[in-house]
Amino acid sequence: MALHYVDPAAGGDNDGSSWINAWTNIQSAFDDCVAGDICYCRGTQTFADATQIDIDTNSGTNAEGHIKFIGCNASGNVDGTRFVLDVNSKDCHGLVLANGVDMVWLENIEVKNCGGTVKDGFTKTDTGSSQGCVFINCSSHNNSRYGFGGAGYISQDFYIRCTAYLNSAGFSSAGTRLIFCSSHDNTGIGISFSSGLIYGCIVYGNGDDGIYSNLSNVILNTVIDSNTDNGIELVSGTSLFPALILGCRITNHSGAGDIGLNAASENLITGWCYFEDNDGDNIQNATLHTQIQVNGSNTNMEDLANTNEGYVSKTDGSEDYTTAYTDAGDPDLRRTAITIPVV
Amino acid sequence: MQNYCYKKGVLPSVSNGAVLDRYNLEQLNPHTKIFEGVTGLVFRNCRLINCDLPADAVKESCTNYHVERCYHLHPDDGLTPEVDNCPHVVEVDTITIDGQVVDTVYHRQDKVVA
Repeated sequence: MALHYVDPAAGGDNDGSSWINAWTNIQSAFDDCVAGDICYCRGTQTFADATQIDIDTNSGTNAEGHIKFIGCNASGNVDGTRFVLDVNSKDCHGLVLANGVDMVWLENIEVKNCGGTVKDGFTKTDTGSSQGCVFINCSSHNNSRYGFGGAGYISQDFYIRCTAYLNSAGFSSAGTRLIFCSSHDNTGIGISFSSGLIYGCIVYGNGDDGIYSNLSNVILNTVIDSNTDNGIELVSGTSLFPALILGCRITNHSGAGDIGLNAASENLITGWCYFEDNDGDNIQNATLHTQIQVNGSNTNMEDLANTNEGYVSKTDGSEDYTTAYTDAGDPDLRRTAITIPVV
Repeated sequence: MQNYCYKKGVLPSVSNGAVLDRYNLEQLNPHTKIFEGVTGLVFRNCRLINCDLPADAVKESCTNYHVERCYHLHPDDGLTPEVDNCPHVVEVDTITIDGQVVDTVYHRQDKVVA
């Protein structure tokens, strides 16, 4: 296991061996680091031309572990400060995982300002899997298409405390686990995914569906609020593998006819969810919908005039997930107390 | 942070000199004027695709360029219908059986425009 360093402002030999001699382009790090290595990255790398960063050389291994790329503050300490890739409106993707590259760990990395019309912050070269990759506290915003995902889904990976905002759409993924992530204020869909898990996330203020769910997804303990189209829309293919939606708060889908949960006649199991102020209906097209009951009572709750949106503020960037519930009957129970980054 | 993109509906009311931080103000069609007559606006980290801003507006780290969208790619967005072989077609595949073209597949892409 070796340590490496990236700092776009570094002088020295630029061989990645220390902060003084750090690589100035993170591409060098992705090309040289191997399983078990850790590369610390600080500062901002601004694209001078439309050349995407490719992660296409080495994979982590079960024997040696992930290849880790971790953002640091100016002092080189890991405190949640992100290393920034500013694509500078160039017509290219930001970070591109090649198909077959596995076990890459990206922590505290921000990608922004991918230009053109179909460029993504974090994406893959084509369909297929890049298994066991981990994204922690990564942020992707102001990109012309997806924050995370795209023509090639990022799949079989873990997103933990990641955030996507002000993109054309937030996350697009297959077989992926999104845990404590936020997707908000994107022009289109917040999260489009299949065969995956969403746990403890916030999806709000997007210009289309909050969650567009295809094929056997599990959505747990998530706040879906104030998206322009449906809160959750199920789409074809779940009949043999039911979607499972538990403990979610689905509120304020207030455009004409917008629905909290559009089951689209798919096989669906729900329980312990709370619905409020969804104009079209709270749940619709629910011909194959089973609501979990306890002692004969439906565990879902609807329209109890609880105005808590499930997060603190939509306007000042201080949104969090930490409001304590007040009593056992309060729908606020339908989420976990945890702070989620939104920028 | 606020989302006032074209899919969300109307723009907010803003006063002269307002600072808008992390707003999504994306418009459907290129060169759509927004906040006409409002002076001294500052846009910071905003998504301003297809927006024409007041002349004295200041942009800081914003996404501001113009995209001509294809009706076929965005059929629900209220664009004017286009013919199949529209200007956004970037590639055409034809399926031929026994010398006869039985199907044509158009690959389209939105266009960045000046």
